[in-house]
Formats: sequence, structure tokens, C-alpha cells
Amino acid sequence: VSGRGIPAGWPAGYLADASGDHQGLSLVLFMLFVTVTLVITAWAGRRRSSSVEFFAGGRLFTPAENGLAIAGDYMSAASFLGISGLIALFGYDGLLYSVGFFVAWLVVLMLVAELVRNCGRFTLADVLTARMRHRRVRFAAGTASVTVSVLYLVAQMVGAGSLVGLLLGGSGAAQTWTVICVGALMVVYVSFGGMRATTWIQIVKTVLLMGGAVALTVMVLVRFHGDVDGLLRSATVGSGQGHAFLAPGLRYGGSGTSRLDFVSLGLALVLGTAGLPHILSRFYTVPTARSARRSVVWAIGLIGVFYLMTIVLGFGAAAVVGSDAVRSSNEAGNTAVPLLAEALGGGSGTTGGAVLFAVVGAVAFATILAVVAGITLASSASVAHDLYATWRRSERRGRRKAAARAAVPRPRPAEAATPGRVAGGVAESGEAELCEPRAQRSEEEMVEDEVRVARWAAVGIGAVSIALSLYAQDQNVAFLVGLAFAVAASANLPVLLYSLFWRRFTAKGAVWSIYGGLVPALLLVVLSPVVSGKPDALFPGVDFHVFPLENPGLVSIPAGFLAGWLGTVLSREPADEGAFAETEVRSLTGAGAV
Amino acid sequence: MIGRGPTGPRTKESSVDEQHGADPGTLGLEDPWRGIPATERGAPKVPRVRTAEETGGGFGGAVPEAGAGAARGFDEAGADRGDGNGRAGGTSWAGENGRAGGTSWAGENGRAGGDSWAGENGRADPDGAVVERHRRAELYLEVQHSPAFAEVRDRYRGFVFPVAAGFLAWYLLYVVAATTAPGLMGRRVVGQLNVALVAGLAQFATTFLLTWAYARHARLRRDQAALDLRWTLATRAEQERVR
Repeated sequence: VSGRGIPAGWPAGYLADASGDHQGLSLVLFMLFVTVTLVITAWAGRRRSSSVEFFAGGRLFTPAENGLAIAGDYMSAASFLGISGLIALFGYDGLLYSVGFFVAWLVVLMLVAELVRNCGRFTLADVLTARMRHRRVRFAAGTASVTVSVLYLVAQMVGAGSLVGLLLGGSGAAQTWTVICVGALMVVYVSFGGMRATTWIQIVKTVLLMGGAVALTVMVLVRFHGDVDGLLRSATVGSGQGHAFLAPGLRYGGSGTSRLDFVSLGLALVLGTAGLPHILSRFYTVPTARSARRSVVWAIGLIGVFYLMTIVLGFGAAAVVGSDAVRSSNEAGNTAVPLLAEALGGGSGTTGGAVLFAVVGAVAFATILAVVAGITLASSASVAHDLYATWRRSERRGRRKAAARAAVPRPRPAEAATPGRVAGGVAESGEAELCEPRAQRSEEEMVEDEVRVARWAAVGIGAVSIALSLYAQDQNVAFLVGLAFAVAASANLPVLLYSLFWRRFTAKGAVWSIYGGLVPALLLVVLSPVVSGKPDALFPGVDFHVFPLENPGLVSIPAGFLAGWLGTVLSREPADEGAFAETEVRSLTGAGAV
Repeated sequence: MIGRGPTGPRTKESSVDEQHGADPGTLGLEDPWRGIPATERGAPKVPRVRTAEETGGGFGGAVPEAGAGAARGFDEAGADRGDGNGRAGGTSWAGENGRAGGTSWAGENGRAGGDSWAGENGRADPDGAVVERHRRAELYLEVQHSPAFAEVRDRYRGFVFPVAAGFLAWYLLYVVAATTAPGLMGRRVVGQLNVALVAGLAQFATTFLLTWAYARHARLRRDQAALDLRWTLATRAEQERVR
């Protein structure tokens, strides 16, 4: 793979001026991970490139493999470093994140995973259009998916840049190069390796991350001789807050607005996960709904244990390192776990401390790389399979209609008609297109085309994300993760639940539901204090904020549900009973599933 | 694997999840002829489909007919297709082949030929698609209204809806309590543990517990019935097609 050369150049000069030994070790470990992942990519890239292979990795992963990959997609560096850091700084209020991120998986398990696996092929839009055969539905779903993915990507890549600054003491130039290299690597993974490479990278990353977290947690517990109560007592002392450290209110206890903001975030976290495109697309890598369920059970086990460990690590950092020391290293607390690792290894300046610090840094990088690859793949699938295909097919259809106008089709009695292939996925045959002998060939070309477009879409999305991340590098973009969840919960989840469960839901309702969640969510953020009016806002100079909350979920999620209901009620034509019957039967029995 | 000859009495359930590295298409779940050379198709090795009769599933009055007709339907179809048409892609009932087919596109654009008999035989029939769509909708509506499917759906909804409402309410209560009643949440229970921490750990515990309960419920109460329906439906669709 040509990508091999990309990362080789950049750290060389950087390595030279790295002051401590842990930087060097971090880089070596990280390069090892990059090499392994590139080998995986090269191996996966040698296979034939059908769309099933590219978008779903051949659909033959086992539940355990897919569960590991789902966990890998979900456990970002933000949760490894960010949540532990928040717990180290704010105690209990940081723990609330862990709970929200974790409980969300019940929604995925019970309401989404199996049904989506049974009805869809590659993307969220497939599930919707299985029932509402409408180009506008597919286009809207594709747009929402790409929006969520890009928001999430930028948050991750900016995080990668600042991580370099934190862990390796790098300057602005180092951060810029990190963002560019992470972007380039993720493009290489996705466009050469497709879903198969991305999945194996996630698996490797999950093993590394879980291994690192387990090792640190065990060391913390050993240090306190297994006495959790003692750990908590030390944490209250180390935080300097006393018992208030273990009670709610340190971070979100201020004004009524900040409390509402927290409820909003909590709602977005618990409902957003089920609408994340890169999570949904993972269910298509296993053969059946039953395997999809079993992979989610695996993922829940891993994610639950992981978040429990972040709690121990967060309190451990408060106890061992102390909240003030964490805060002085990084305002947001992102260095809590690396500092904890250093302290557990023997403290600053010792070999053990340096090694552990380096390991944690490398694991965090691996985490970021894997997560961005997963998101890039999901968004490139949306671009190619939903947006591009909508445009391409509408164009073809226009041409065909023009041709059909010339030739009037002969009417035929129903009995003599085609021995109908009833039921199942591809049962619908073309209309006038059947006349064309070249029709099938062009259909196959279109599939090849789709994969080709997806590869290039990954390049395009990579370029856009790199540009946005470089622009946002010095901004406070912590709100972007919460925003991505809010958009997913407002635009993707309502339409998904409605089309799976609501008999009367119509195509108009679907389109309204998506835009009715997407537009308010984005609009409210633009009008919120994170964009203007505050000193740490995106545009601190101006003030056009009217919406008080930082997270729009509290308003935009109900808006999405309401818009879907309204659009359905206002539809002139009723819902297609047969289409709903098909969706319901297929979603619960797996009949006709690909 | 089912549909691929003498692999012994494997249950349907295991065969669905174990692929042994094969392409899902070769499972033969949806297309019993796949992977069998054309010359053998006249006498296909009929998979032993456990019928609705045996399992007490199936839907409505169509059950015995569908069950008994399974083998016959396969035979007829096999003979019918031994005419050199080969498998022009259209036979797969479920469209498991990785082509850009699938329901998703179907109505949006009209599919390329080769996916229906009309296409294979070169009969251009614009009305065929409409008729076909109708028949498909009718079949699905029939299944949807059948007692067997109602059973599966009720079991699913009967478990998932109350439980989902329960855990969402419990989570929201937890979040709202943390923001509105910090005093209550800060009250100590034992040692350093306070109500808030206990509630947080309880959220973890209930999530693990409900995951286990759901998986168990689905495995014991839903999987077999759903799979039976899927098979009955597949058989039935085959029959309709052959008829």
C-alpha cells in the first residue's frame, strides 16, 4: 500500500526534538500500530471489490468479531481520556456521561439492531426506502447521515491534534501534521480496505484499548488493596472538594440553564447512539439478525466493562494524581489517565512511568485512528449508496422516460402476465427497462460505480474533514460530539422508529421527520452560546446567540418526532399497507433479508 | 448446510449462524439450487425444511398446504429450470446476491431485467412489475394478519415496549434527579457511597440485566417462531412463483 510512506516522514524530525523518552516510545508503539493496520488494509484490499465486500465486509463476521468492532467504533479517545478526565475533575458529574453512553445501548439492542439488520442492506436509508420507495427519502437520510458523520469526524480529528500537544508536548505545527496524517491514514484504510479492513482495525484497537484499561484498573485497585471505599475516600481528599466530589452538582449544578443543558445532553446521548450511521452499518457485517443481536450483546459487555473501568480510572486519577495537578496539566482533564499511568508506573522520570505513559498515548492514538476510519467508511457509504445513487438513478430515469414516450407498451391481461416472483428482496422487476438488453449490464456497472464512488467519497470526506479540523484546531470543539449525538437522535432515530413501528407513516412524514430534526438541531447550535457570545465560542467577537443551551437535543429531538407525525397526518395519500406489512414481516422474521 | 446435501441433521438455527467461511449466498437459505450444477437440478436434494405443521407454527390456513407443498414445489421448479436458462440471477427469492438490487431500489427506479421471469424469457412486460408488486403485497399482508405472525409480533412488542419505556423512564429519572435534587442524591448510604453513586451503579446493573433478559427472551420465545415463519414464507413464495 502506498500509504506506507505517508507516516514515515513526519515523526522523524519530531522525534529528534522530543525531550523525554516516553515520546520516542509512544511514537514507536504508534508506528507499530500504523504498520499493522496498513498490512491489514493491504490484505483486505486484495479481495474483489463488490459492494457487499466494500460496504459490509462480505457479511460473514462472527458475532464476537462484530461485537469487538462495534465496541471499537464506539469507544473513542474522548471516552477513554475525556470521561476519565471529567470524573477526575468533577467526580460524580463526569460519571453521568458514562451512564448515558452505556444505557443508550439498550435502545440499540431492543429497538434497532435486529430489525435494521433484517430490512436493510448497507445504510440507514436502505431501511427507510424498503418501505417508502421514494428518492427524496433516500436523499434526506443520506444527507442526515453525512452530516452526523462529518460532525463526529471533526471532533475526533481535532481531538487527535490536541492529544499530540498534550502527550508529546508538540507545537502547533506538530498538531497540524497530526491532523493531516490521521486524515490521510483513514482515507487509505477506507478506500483501499473497505469494511473488511476497517472492521479488523477496530478489533485490534478494541483489544489494545481494553488491555490498556484493564491493566491500569488492576494497578489502581492493587494500589488501594482492592478497597473501593478507600479509593473513593482518597479521591474526595485528592479532589480538594470533600464529599461534594461524589455528589451531583460540581459541573452542572450552577444555573437552571446549565441543568437543562445537562438533561438535554443526557437525552441526546441515550437516543443518539441508535442513530449513528457508523454503528448502524456495523450490523450488516454479520449474516443474520440473530448474529446482529449477539454482536450487540458482546458490544454491551465490552462497553459496560470499559465504562466501569473509566470510573475507576477517573477516581483513581483524582486520588493518586489529584484534581489540581490534572487541571494544571490540561483544563479539560484529558491528561488524567496518562498522568495516572505515569504515577502508577513509579512517577515522573522513572522508566516504569515513562513506559506506561507512552503505552497510554499510543493506545489513545490507535483509538482515534480506528474511530475515524469507521466513521469515514459509513459516510462514504452514504455518499455513494444514497446521495450519488439517487442522483445517478434519477438521471437515468429521466432518460428512460424520454425513450419510453416513443414506444407505447402493449397492455396485457393479468393472468398471462409474468409468473410473479412474489416476495423477497429483488422481486420487483423493471418497468420499461426490461426491454433493454443492456439493462442488466448497466446495473452491474452501476454497482461497480458505487464502490468506485465510495472510494473517492472517502478521499473527499477526508479532505473536507482535514480542512475543517485544521480550521477548528484552536477552537473549543468539545460540543461537537454532543452535537453529533443530538443530530443523530433528532434526524435519524425518529424516522427509523416510525418506519419500523408505525402503520400509518408515509413518505412525506419520513422526509419531514428527517429535516424536522436535522434543521432545528443545526440551527439551534448556530444560535447557541457555543458559536457566538461567549469568550470560548467559535466566533467570540460577535453575539447572535438566542438559544441558551449548548446542546439542542431537548428541543430538536421532540421536533423530529413531531415533524414526522405532522408530515404523516398532512399527507394526502395514505400509507401503503402492503409496504408496511412487508417491512414489519421482514423486520421480525428475517424473510428476504440479504 | 441446508440445501447442500448430506450434512446430517443440523438444525436450522445453527445453520443460520454458522457459515464456515462461505458466502452467505451459498447457504442456500433462499435459493436451494444455488451451488448445484444445472444437470442435477432435475432432482435437487431437497432440504429438510421443518414445516409449520411439525413446529406448530405457520400462518393461517395456508400452513398444511405450504408444508406439504414444499418438496413438490422444489421439484417442479427444478425441472422447470433445467431448460438451459441457467440461473439468470432472478431466482433468488431474497436477493442475497450482492447486486444493486434489493427492495430498496425497487420502486424507485425499476430494476434491470434478469430478476424476473419476464426478463429471463425476454418477455417485456411493463404490467408484470405491477402485478408482481401486488401479489407480493398480498402475501405479506396475509402473513401480517396471520395468527402465527401476530404471535411473534406480540411477543416482541410485549417484551420490548414496556421494558424500553421502563429503562428510559428510569434513566431520565436518574438524570433529572441529579440536576434537581442534588441534596437527596448526595445522601450517604454506606461508607463513601451515596445515593447518586448507588443509582449510577444500578444503571449499569439494570443495563446488563436487561441485556441478558432480552437476549434470553428472544432466544427462547421468538427465534424459533420467527425462523419457522421465514421458512414458511420462503416456501410459499416459491410456490407462488412456480404456479
